[in-house]
Amino acid sequence: MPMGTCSEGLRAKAVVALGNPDRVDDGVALRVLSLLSPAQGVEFLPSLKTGMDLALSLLGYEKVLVVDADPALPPGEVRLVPLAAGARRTFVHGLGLAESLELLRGAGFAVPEVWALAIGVPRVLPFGRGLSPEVEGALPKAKEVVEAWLRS
Amino acid sequence: MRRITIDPITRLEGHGKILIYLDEEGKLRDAILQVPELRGFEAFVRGRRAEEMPQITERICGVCPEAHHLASAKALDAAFGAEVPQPARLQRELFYNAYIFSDHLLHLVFLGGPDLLLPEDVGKAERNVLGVLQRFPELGRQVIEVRAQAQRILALIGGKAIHPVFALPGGVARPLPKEAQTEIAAIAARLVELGKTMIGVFHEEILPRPEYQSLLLAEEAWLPTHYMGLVDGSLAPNFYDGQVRVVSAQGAELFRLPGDQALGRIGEHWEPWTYVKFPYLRDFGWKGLRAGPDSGIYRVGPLARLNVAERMATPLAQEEYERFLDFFGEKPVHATFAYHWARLIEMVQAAETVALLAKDPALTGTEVRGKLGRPGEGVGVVEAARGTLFHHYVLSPEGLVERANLIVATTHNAPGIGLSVKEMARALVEKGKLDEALLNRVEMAFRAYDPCLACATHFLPGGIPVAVEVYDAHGNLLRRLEG
Repeated sequence: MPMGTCSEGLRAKAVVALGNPDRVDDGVALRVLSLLSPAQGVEFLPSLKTGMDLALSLLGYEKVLVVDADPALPPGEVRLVPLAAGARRTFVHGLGLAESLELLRGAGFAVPEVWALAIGVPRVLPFGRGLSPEVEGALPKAKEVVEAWLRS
Repeated sequence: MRRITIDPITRLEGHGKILIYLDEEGKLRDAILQVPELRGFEAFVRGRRAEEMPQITERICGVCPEAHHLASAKALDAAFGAEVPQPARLQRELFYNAYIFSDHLLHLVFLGGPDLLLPEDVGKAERNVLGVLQRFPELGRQVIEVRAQAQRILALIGGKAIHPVFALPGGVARPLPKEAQTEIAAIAARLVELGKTMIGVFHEEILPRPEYQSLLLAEEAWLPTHYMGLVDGSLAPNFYDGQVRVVSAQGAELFRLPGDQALGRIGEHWEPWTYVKFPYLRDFGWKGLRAGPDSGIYRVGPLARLNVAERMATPLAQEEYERFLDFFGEKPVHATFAYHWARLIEMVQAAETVALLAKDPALTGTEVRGKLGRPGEGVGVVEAARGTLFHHYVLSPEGLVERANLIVATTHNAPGIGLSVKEMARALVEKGKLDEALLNRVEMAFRAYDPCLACATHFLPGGIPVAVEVYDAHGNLLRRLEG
């Protein structure tokens, strides 16, 4: 597990795909990942977990793009945003990713610059495999945005 | 009638909510907990290959996939009648104790941390994980570093730190290399050291505070229920394996049975206002949502495991367990806020167990897969960080899943959580508090259980906001508080 500090050599970039392929559109990030071609200096990381566990695994990268399904957006909408710490989470037993990164930064760790690619999905995600047509339709644009982010 | 809603919004079908109902005089009329259910899971897995279950079930919870992964593997061991060879068993148990350590550590310092480590007069702006870090910078850094090391153990055995892929029916996928064992042994020493540090912090910074002691002994947080947990042959808690032991609210053993037989002693009750099934002990029957020696309601998790045990499995944990019992002066300990202290004791046992298992020469043995028999029916049970987790599968002769049922920790605890919240709300509302202090105290009662309402939730906004809505007698929204 890398515990990066500013003086240590950093790996370049990572693209993280969060999601569960057994909950239909929740697996959209994994589909996006499957469309990308390997690139030097870039690691692709599928993940079920977010929060502190994911934050720790991101130490040592310079820049990270987290791709995830977002029920707050209309299904199929694609949006690239910097990951920002949100409101305090008081009712869960896991810290959010942004909050965890903030915590690590506060403790003196060198945390990466993290961006989020949010892909709109329906609010209710039943068990099942495959994407809905609306979310499937977002894949080309999502791929394009990730590739542009990797070139930046 | 006025209504207060505490609503953690999730993407699941059905929200987890606490609904607090007030009467015309502003006193508590009722409080209930609604918990989301993983609807459709059984239909989804029907007809799938049994070997897929450890991967499928770990994906239903982004918080503790380790627990589902191994409960599932154990259910398949039983369903295929497979003996797990010793090296595979050691790998699983070591992995599992590293997970318990890691999970409990996170809860103690960063999730329950604001409740535990910060004095009550610390304002809302500081009452969060960053507030903890500002007050305890060195401890915070040490915790982060050691937790990363514990995650490294999970990766060395499980294949991936963020979700394991190693357990199979009858064993594990590969032998553990000797260099991995050496690395784990070195890490284990740091886990134990941090356990000692945490005990020191608890006794120097937390327990002496009068307000913390009054919280531990608060009448409204005293809930006499029965308790359930796994124990080993010497009646010490075992997170990975053992028999399910249930003790009564007075501390008498009600039964001690293998998982499949214990499952038969649990009934499930339905209420129309929530998706969650309320488990109860069949010996007592369902007698409504109330605690007491004649009720069928029981609790699971760290406090329950210490209540069903007669001792801890390791020396440092045993020392702290004795201090715990001395403080309360009775057993079972019914104080809901004792869950945190129990979690600390378990975390120390988990660290010591990792250290012990890491030295076992059989850990790197090459026989890691037992022979599978004909597929049938099997129950797997482990102690997840939050409590007892049952997986029960019925397989077809072709090895396909015909039926699957899971009872997760928060489901076992749903009646207890509901009752704890209700009693806390009753005490505070009757003292005239209807503000953020109420929200915080009710949340504290809820958080003590470390409940998991968020299976499979991890969406990008990153937050599960909490809102309290206060309605007047005519249903008008008077005030909305957000956590």
